[in-house]
Order: sequence, then structure tokens, then C-alpha cells
Amino acid sequence: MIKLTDINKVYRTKTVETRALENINLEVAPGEFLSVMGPSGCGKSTLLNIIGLLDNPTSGTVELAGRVTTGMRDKELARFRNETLGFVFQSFHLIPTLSVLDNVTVPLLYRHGFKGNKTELARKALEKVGLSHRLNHFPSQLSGGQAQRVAIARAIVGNPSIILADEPCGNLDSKMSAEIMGILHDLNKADGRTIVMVTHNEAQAAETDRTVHFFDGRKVSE
Amino acid sequence: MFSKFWRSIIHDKLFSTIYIFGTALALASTTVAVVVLNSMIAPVYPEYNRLQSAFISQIQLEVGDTGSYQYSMSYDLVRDQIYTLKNATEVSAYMQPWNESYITPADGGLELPVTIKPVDPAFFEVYNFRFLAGRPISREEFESGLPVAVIGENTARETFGSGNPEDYLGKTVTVDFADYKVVGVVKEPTHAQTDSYAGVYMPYTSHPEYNEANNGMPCIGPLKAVIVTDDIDALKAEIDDFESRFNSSQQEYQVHFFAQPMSHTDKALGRIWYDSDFSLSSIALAFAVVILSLLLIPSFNLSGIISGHMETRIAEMGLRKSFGATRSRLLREVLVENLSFTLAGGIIGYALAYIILKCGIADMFQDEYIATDMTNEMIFSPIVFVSVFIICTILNTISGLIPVYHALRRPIVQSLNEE
Repeated sequence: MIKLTDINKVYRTKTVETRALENINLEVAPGEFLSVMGPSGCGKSTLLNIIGLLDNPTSGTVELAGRVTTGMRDKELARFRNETLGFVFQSFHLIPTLSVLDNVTVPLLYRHGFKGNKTELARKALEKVGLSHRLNHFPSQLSGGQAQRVAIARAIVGNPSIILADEPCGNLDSKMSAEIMGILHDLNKADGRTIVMVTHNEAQAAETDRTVHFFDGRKVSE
Repeated sequence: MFSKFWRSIIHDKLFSTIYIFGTALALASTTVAVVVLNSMIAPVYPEYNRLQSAFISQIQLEVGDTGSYQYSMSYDLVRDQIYTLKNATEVSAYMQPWNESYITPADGGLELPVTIKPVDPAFFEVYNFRFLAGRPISREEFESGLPVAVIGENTARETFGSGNPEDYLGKTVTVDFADYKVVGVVKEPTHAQTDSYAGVYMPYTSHPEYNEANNGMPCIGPLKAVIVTDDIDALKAEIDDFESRFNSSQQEYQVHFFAQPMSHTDKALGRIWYDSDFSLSSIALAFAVVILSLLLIPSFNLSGIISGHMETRIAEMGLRKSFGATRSRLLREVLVENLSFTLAGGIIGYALAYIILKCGIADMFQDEYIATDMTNEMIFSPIVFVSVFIICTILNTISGLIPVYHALRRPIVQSLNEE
């Protein structure tokens, strides 16, 4: 489902060169739940951004769902992201001026040739995360756990095969974290979605199918 | 749609307020300028023939070596040369007395200042007056010089007191010590219609000075002419032909029409009758520069405000991009969103312009060609609506395009990290 080959990412300024990722090779099987661990600044988020086509590697190839994404134009990348990937961010990234329902429909607004009922799909996604009673609330009226559940509903509303979660429980207490992890496991097991999750939490990582550890931009153990 | 717009306002009240009221002020000033210009040149009651109208208001007569005189036209000149113009579909001659006149009911009462216009019957053909009662001055009354009058509704009410227009028919008014019987009551034009406006219209043949000899000099006199024509160039050629025939027929007097007959548009935009070098395009350019200045200054200000506002939405833009939005799609979305603010500002600006125009604050624009007694017909004309909408769109695009485009150029990851 995900195949990274010889991925390098270097950030350059006039005077400094920072190697964020170094010769990363990684494969994630369809339906696998992979966790990525490592200290801050080790390149976990950079890796997730590259898998999510939010950032380009300096060298190497990214293959997602059987397609090599290198050389894709911006429009193609946008369409591919919309159809194949769903994102869950640590800070939720909900749009404050939109209701819960409208936040969840956002990916469908950009779905090429979409003719279905956006509201209905968003409702179903919210039902799945147990928030069907908060459709018309606004992000400011939600708790952290509820906000993250809305973000997960948004990630799955377009039925992507891959979900990328960047420290999804980073801003939540342990009870809410458990709820969110439950939902992610359910999406993985029941729906067969491939999930890559960045986390600092060993216990959460231990619940996943496989964990890779990063240090200084390199994959150090698997 | 409206609830989203309202939520956007509530979410960032300061931005929304500054944006909407900034736009409103810019558009109010622009709308005032557009309305004033439109009221000067576009067809409005009763001057619906403006686009086909041409004017001869003054001529110059050189008398040997003794000097030259600038007057309007004599009755003989009008009768023999102007009324008979082949390229005119309608010709009307009228007087425009310099002195203020006074009106009273014939049976006594308060003396009121009034603008009078001694006219011929064709005046009511050239200008489409709405008769509320009675009729225009007839050809027979005109040729006999009968003291009859068509009176404006407001003037009639001020003179006789309130009543129905029919009540004023048959009454007699005294204007400058002469009695006139009211035969018609018209919806009164406003001062903005300088060509047609008067409180009282009477046959110029009833005016003591209409055919007064000017020390035996030909051509000059008290009459002006408004001519409806489909071909102003041919009309001008006819006048030029008369001018050269007259001037070559004798040596003592040389008559000059200069730039006349001149179109209503030229006249309204300030062309002087002897100005042969008048350029409509330079006036249009000057107006465009004024409008552009009125728009560019707020555009730059709004641009700064939008730029600041976009900074707060960088993360949202990054999020939308991560879920598949393209840059062009987001650019369109944000510009349309801004347009709703701009249109809200436009509506408030229009209302502000209405108040400005109705309160006469636009007197600052006033000169001899522009009066500011604006009717609703002038303020709410379709051309003004369309112009204001176009201006809104231009303002929106100019002010929004650069900051929004700049914000959308940021890489997704950088945008997401902005929060």
C-alpha cells in the first residue's frame, strides 16, 4: 500500500544544511496499522508529510496504492490526496467558522466529479465516531476528544484507503486518548484501512501491528 | 449562504467591520461620482432625448473694426435658419432670462422667486413633460403671443397653496408684473435638469424682449435653441454653411457659431460654446483617473487588511489543500467570500451615497453644469447599479488577489504549522 524507496529529505538555508531523513526505505502493507516513534526532531512528522504528499522528498520515490507519485503535478497530487489519503492532526485543524457537519464535508467539496449527498456522508462519518448529536455545534463548543473525533470523521468521509495520523492523542488526556485509539483500531480492523500513526506513547504504539523507530532522520529499528 | 456570511462576520468582527465599512465609504464616494455623472449625461425626466440633443446657446457677432458681441440668437435668425434646419427632427427655441423673476397669484399673495422659461410649443415635444393637468402651449397661443403658462407642480403648490393639479387650471399668475393664465400643470423637473427646468413656461412671443432689435445688429438676440437630431455632424455642416454664406454675403458683420451645435454630452461635461478643441476623451480619462483614485486608495488599504486576515487563515488554507483543494480553487473561494463582504459594503455604500446626495452634501461638486437636486430616478438607475456592481468586483479583485495569492503560495506543511 505504501512503499518508500531511498527517501532523503534535506532542508537547506544559505548557511545550514539539515538532513531530516536519510535513506529511508519503508513498506506498509494494505490494512496494516503502523506506528512511528522517536524523539522530537527525529523526522517522524517529515516522514508522514512525505507519505501524505504534503511535502516532497529531496530524493527517492514514494509509491502509494500502486502509483508512483514522483513527478505528479500539483493538481494531480491534490486529487490523489483527496481520494486516497485522510489526515488526522495533533491540533485537530478544525475550521472555526464551520459547524461540525460542514467541517466534515470539507474533503467532499474538493472531490472531483462528486455527485453524492455530502451531508448524508458526513452524517454517517460522524455517526461512526459517535458524534451524530453534535452536527450543528462549532469547534469552540467541543472538548478536545470530540474535536479529534470530528477530525477523524473528516479524514474518513471521503473513504480513503490510507489514514495518516500525526500524534492524534498528543493533546488529549488518557481517557480521551483511549477513545480515539479505539476509533482508529476500529477503522483499521473493521474497515481495513491502512493507518500510519506518529506517536510518542509506547503503550499506544504497542497496540499497533508494527512500530518503526526513528533517530536523527534514520530508521533505527523495526 | 447568509448564515455562513454572518458567521464569518461574527468570527472576526474587527476585520469584518473595517472591511465592510471601508468598502462602504469608498463605494459611497464612487457612487456619488457615478450618479452625478449619470444624472448629467444619461436620459432622465423630462430630458429623455439627451443623447440626440444639440444646443446653440450663444453666438459671436463681429462688427467691422468696432468689436465683437456675444449673445444668443435673434428671433429672425431662429425663424429663418434654425427652425428650418433640414437635419433636425425637432427644433425648439427658448429664452433663459438672467434676472430672477417673481411670481404671485393674480389676486394677491406672497411674492416668490421663480425660474421662468419663455418657450415655443416645440419645447414640449423636445422634452417629454408629464402633464398632471391641462395641456402644452398651443401653436395658436404661441403665434398670437397670448399670456398663457404651463406651471410646474411644486411652483403651483407654493403659489396657490396645496390642491389637485386640476385646481390650478384657469387660475392666473402674475410673473414680473404680467398676468398669465395657467393652461397646464407638469411634474416639475429638478434643478439638475438645467436645460428643461423652470417653474413657469410661457410663450416667448408673450415676452416683451423676444424680438427686440439689438441696435440694428443682425443675428444676435435672446433666443437659444435645442435641436433633436440623428446626425449632429450633418447639422453642424448646415450651420457652418449658413455661417459662411452669411459672412461672405457682406463685409460689415461676421457671425460665428464656433463649436455649435454641440451635443448634450459635450455641454454637460463642460464644453464651452466657442471651444473648438474640446476633447471628450480627455474628460473621460480625467473621470477615469478620479474613479480609479477613489478605488485604488481603499483597495490598498483593504489589501493590507485582507493580508493580515489571511495570516490568521493560513492553517485553514493548508488544511484545505491537504484534503485536495487546489490553489486556484481556494483563490476562487476566498475571492467569492470577500466579494460577499464587498457587496455588503456596496449596499451600505449605496445607502450612504443616497443620504449624501439627498442631503445635498454633494454640493461640493456643484458648478454651472451640475446641480445636485437628485431624483430617485437618477440615483437608482440601472446604469448606476451595474456600475457599482462592477466597481465592487474590481475593488474586491484588486484588494484581494495579491494577499490571497501570496498566502496560498505557502507550502502546505508550513501553512499547517502556522496555527
